[in-house]
Amino acid sequence: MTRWFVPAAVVLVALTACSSSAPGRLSAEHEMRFGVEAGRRGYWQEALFRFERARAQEPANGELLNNLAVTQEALGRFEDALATYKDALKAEPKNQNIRRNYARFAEFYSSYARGVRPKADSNETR
Amino acid sequence: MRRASASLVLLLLAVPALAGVREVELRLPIRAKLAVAGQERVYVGPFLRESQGDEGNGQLGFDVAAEFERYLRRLLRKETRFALIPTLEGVRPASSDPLTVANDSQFWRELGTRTEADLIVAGSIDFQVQDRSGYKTEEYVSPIDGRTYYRQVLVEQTGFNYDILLNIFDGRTGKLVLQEPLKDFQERPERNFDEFTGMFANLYAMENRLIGVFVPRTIKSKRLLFTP
Repeated sequence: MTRWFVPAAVVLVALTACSSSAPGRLSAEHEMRFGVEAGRRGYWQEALFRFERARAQEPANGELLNNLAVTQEALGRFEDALATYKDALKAEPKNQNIRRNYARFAEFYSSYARGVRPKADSNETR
Repeated sequence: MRRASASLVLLLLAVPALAGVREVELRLPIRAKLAVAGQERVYVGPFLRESQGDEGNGQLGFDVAAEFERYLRRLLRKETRFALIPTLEGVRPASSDPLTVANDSQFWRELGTRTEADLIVAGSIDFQVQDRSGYKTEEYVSPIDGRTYYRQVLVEQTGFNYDILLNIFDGRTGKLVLQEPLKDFQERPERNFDEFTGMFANLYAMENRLIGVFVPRTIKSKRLLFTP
């Protein structure tokens, strides 16, 4: 079983990669898949690189924009994440998963941005 | 050969099935509510117990304000790098009204000068023990005839309500820098539950919020990634 399974998988991946992309350049779908895998392993810089490349090919793909927003959030780029989530919702306003992510982000972001700071004149230490 | 074909078909069928969502966990930073360098000289106290008439200190076997002060001092020592100034004896504000005391910047400036503190962490506390008992309607399925009946059950419980108003003053100017209300309610399913244990159950529940005033923390949050 495994003797056949591995070559079959390799052939399938190679075929799908060749069929939809120019030489040396992966399709948005493949970039997205790599990005998700990188994100799952915690390699968020790599995920960002992949999702940005995918966005260059499909700038109005809501699911892709959602993934990019999550990655920006993971890297602490919260202002960018806010803008990207909004773009994702503009592309797919009825997508429940994007809305859920956005709601969780908004909850976090509002408390993060609310950080209370003392007045400038009382911030000095002795 | 047949098995190989079957596995290839299975694989082809599995590819679209993989499309969907994957959950990932992010660690997100939460800023401290008080923007400090972290090595300030801090004086803790005094804390006032808000008078509760009949439910005042007389009924409790311990001094709530003093216990909270001791607990907060220990928490700050453990979780922060502040230089904690030892407690001075006999420091009491002129008024027992928490709002008046919070605005008495002269008192806090004098205390700051005396202790050489950068920050003074003080406030007021209201701790209430609520012993309650009553009847509750409960559904009951009879083992004899299998029918559902409703019966009255006596429920006894103790509630501990903690309401803290944390005031942080600038030791140099005496001005209020941050005011943070913290509330918690814990319920125990028995009557006359030990008050001291109840108080600390409240405090442990609030510990994260309390320490979040002084130091940044991280939280874990889940997000969904779409897979093509």
